[in-house]
Amino acid sequence: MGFLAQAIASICGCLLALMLALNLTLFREGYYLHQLQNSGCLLLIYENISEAEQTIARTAGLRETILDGIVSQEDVDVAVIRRADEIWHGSTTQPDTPYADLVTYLQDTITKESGQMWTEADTVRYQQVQTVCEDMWRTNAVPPMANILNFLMQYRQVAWILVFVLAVLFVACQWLQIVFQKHWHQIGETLAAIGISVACGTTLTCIAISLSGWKNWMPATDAAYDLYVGWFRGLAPVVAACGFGLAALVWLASLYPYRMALYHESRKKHLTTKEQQL
Amino acid sequence: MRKQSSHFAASEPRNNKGKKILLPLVFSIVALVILLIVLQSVRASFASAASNSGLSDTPQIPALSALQTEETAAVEQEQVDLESYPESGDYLGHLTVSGTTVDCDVYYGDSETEFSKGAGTYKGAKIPGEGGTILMGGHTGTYFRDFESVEVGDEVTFTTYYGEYHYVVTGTRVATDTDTTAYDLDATEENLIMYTCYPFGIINPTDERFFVYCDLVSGPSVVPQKS
Repeated sequence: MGFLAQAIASICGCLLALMLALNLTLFREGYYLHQLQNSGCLLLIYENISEAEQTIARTAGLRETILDGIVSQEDVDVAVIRRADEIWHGSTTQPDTPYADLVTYLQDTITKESGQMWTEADTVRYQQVQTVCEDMWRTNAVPPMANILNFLMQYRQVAWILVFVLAVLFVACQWLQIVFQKHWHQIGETLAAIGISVACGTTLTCIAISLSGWKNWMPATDAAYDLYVGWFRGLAPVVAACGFGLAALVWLASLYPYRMALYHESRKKHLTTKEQQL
Repeated sequence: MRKQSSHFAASEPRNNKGKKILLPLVFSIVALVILLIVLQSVRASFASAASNSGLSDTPQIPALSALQTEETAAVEQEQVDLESYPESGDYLGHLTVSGTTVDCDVYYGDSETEFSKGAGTYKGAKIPGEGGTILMGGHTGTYFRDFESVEVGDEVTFTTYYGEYHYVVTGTRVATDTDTTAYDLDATEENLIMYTCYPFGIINPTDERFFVYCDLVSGPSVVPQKS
């Protein structure tokens, strides 16, 4: 039974390290947003929107740069982060698009530039421009890697529950060693062995992650490739940190039985010497 | 005899020590191997989801055709000669829905194999260009998760291997999975119906479906048609 409890503790320790690492990296919104802000993706989205505005203006027969300045980099950042927030926490209220007052803006600007009042036909045209711009905005101002994030969010709900269950099992199986082992030094040895198993299991997990070929899952030509690599790369080191952290805790815990064993041995020796003296 | 037994007694704790370290280690490796085998399907789905980030180097302007003048917008009704009709699991094309993060590959067939890689079309319905109902499904946990952002008027672009099709969203509806009134597979006009499990984002299967109805805007017709 002692071996079984020890084996369960070792397995739970490895899985706990993996689940903790997932919760701290891929399942955490802050980690994704940090990577997103450090990548060039937000700038690329802004450039795409600016380019799209010019294409829309040109297609509508307006001055190409007339829509420049309506959307700022900050607007893009806020909208993308808000959409990312939606993926993590479900639907939120859609914010106003930056093109809400576009018709008025076009009427004022074009009248000022041409010196002619707008006609009914112009207003209809401006409304079409506004509709196209709003659709373009909703399409482009989205977080990259939405498919991956949506996929992960399925498992995120159960991840913390799993962490809790594994943690309980991990601690309980270590505590059971007190019940199953006869001597303090045996308990200490078993706990140290659990620590070694967790450390080895974690190392194997890290090797498995690096051998999985995750870098090739996204084509290197993809615009968000750097973001993907930076985001996923964080998993293995955090798995290692969590695994070795757990192992270190177990090793620390094993010091107490060792001390108790030493104490009992010294006491035994002391008693034996006393008996011999008598 | 006494010497032998003392030797045996000395080697026993060493064996135990080896057992105590090796056995849990073996268990850990076995557990990891099992975990890797179990996670293999998750890995495949994750890799499919990662194959396209949805971020493009060039901007996407879905409804730009609305601004084009009549002369430039006039498109001749093309006809594409399909050499062979797609078979189960074949790649059909790529799908995007404006205003949403829906951006995935589409395969012919609607089994778990197709759904794990993207969206899938029902084989009993039509394919784009055939002039009938195209019934397309996808998982709400992955590729069709953002159906909650779909609005009437959104543009659906379905770039098949034989031509580009544009549809416009005309409506949405929640129905049960047994409700056959939610779709009409005998329609003569080309239309696209996309569906996913409802409520959105759940893992376990439900008996409710969210349907998105779209009408064809443009795209070539195909020959030969399915018999």
